[in-house]
Amino acid sequence: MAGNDKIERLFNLISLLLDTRRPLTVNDIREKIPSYGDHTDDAFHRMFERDKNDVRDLGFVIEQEDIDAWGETGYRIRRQEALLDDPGFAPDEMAALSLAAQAWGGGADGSLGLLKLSVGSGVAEPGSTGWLLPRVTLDRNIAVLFEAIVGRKRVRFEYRTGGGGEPHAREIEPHGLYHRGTWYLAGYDRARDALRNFKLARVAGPIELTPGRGPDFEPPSKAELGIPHGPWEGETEGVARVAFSPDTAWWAERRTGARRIEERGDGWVTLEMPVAEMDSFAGWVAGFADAAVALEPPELRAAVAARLQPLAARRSRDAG
Amino acid sequence: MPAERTTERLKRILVLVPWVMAHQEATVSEVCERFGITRDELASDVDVLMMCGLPPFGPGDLIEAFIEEDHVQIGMADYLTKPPRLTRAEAIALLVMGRAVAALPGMEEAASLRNALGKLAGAVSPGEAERATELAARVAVELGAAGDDLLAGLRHAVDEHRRLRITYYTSGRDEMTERDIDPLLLCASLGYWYVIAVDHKSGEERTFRVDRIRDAVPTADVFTPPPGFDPSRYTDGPFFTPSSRDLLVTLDLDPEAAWIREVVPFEHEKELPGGRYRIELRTPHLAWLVRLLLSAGEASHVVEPAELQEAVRDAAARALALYER
Repeated sequence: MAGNDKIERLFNLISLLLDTRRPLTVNDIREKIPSYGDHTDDAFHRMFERDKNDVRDLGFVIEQEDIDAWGETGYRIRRQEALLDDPGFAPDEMAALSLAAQAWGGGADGSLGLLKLSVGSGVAEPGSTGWLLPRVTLDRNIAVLFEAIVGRKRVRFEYRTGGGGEPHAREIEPHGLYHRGTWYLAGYDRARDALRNFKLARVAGPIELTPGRGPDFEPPSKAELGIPHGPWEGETEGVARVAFSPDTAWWAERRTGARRIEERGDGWVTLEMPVAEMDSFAGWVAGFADAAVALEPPELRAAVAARLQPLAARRSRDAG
Repeated sequence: MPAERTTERLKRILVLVPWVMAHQEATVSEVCERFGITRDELASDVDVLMMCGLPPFGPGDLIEAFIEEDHVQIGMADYLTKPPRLTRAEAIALLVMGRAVAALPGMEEAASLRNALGKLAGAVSPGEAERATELAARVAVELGAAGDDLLAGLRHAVDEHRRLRITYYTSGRDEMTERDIDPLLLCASLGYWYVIAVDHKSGEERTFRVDRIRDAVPTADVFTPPPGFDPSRYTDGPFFTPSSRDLLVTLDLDPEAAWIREVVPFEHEKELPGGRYRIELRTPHLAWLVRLLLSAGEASHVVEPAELQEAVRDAAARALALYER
């Protein structure tokens, strides 16, 4: 396997740099790692540069220091800094942490992190518990956004709106990331001069950092990070009144935190709630079928009815 | 992406070495489970390790690595008895998820968890701790939703095998039912919590959405979980569990209904001209789909089954009647 050669070489390089007491020169390293010897000078130097980057990407700090009067560089990895000493986790802390870490799935960053801690602390991490948390994945785009948020760099990506159609280029100052069933990016859209939320599932292609060094923007305080919940939350567009059937009213109330206005003799309950996006709210109400009816405002009533009409008029043949 | 796979694999091997040395008693299948790998993958990791060591790579310089009977043996790697420190991504993953779990209602472990999170900074590479903390403040995972106050009680019931009497809203039939369930597992997926339970009404394993449980009252009964119950079937959420009652559903979505792809677990997808999509999914129940399709309005089209076409039309007509009075 081609991958095996590279793993072997990198593993040997890391072992060598961890084990050495004194910094090693490039030539020392080339002599000591057999597979480096098989290459021409140029090829070796290119390979060594790439390998150093890979080792750094794995989280190791390669220390470089001048080791003689001619300024030759020596390399090593200090064990003390690179490896994890006992982080001092008590068994209950380890158990609680593993409860959280199982969400990330085997091999993922979180679970590998947990395995590291469980060696370091000498406390066994417990096995399965009575629940499964959602699999939250950290893919390449998330890694880029992490970097952008920390470095305060603008990002560019192609984005499809909820209405579908062709994706359009966006340039965003990333303020934060949140996950509710799926990942969202919250940030400032300069072209639109507005704070917006972007569903990462709708990003087409990779997210790129804008070129150039140094921070591009000053992030807002954390309190301003707006997370939308549903069409009834956010900046209010209007107030709606909706009547719900006896069996659904409690649920709608619990879900939206709406205000109870009236309970009719037949058990139907009228709720009043602020609405952020009247149109998507109409879709939400339509989804209750005949278990809810929009009462006010008239535009909402019209919007719900307009959604239902074409469906009620459809014949089976029209469906395709 | 072979390059990425190589470093991912190396990342794992660098933890595998100290972990196995610290857990000599672990069986092959335990190691595989912990690291989320197959036996073949473990065997090939061990093969690589056998070739690794320190110069001059004589027999006494190479790592000892082999699988004997049901155990992995790793030795002669004194420079790697400890794992690498946590990377930024690993620390953030734990911090963010840990906070989310600690914030769940009724979490008894919340205090231990917060203590553990407080110690994480010391386990990160020097210089990374500050950035990891700053970043974690700007990344949030939300596990709960309104109506999840029952979660703590359900968790207890799962742990204690306690039978529950629940009042449940079946959205498909728009009715409240009272039933006894044996809760086996809680899982969260696509923004909702679900409880997987044996439903006494049908005697079968069913999925209940937690926010639709109005009340859950513990009964005096303790149950024995069915021997065939396999929690790992639900690892990717409750939807990807095929059942014999499944119907094959095909939907065409106009651009305005493309959001359905984000909330429905579908099996196949095809892009059609004009920014439209065709998706295929399997489900034992149509009622939840009817509601979703009503929300989407005319931007969604049922290709098959005819049963679903009729159900959508009837439901729309019944709802519309409320507006024509």
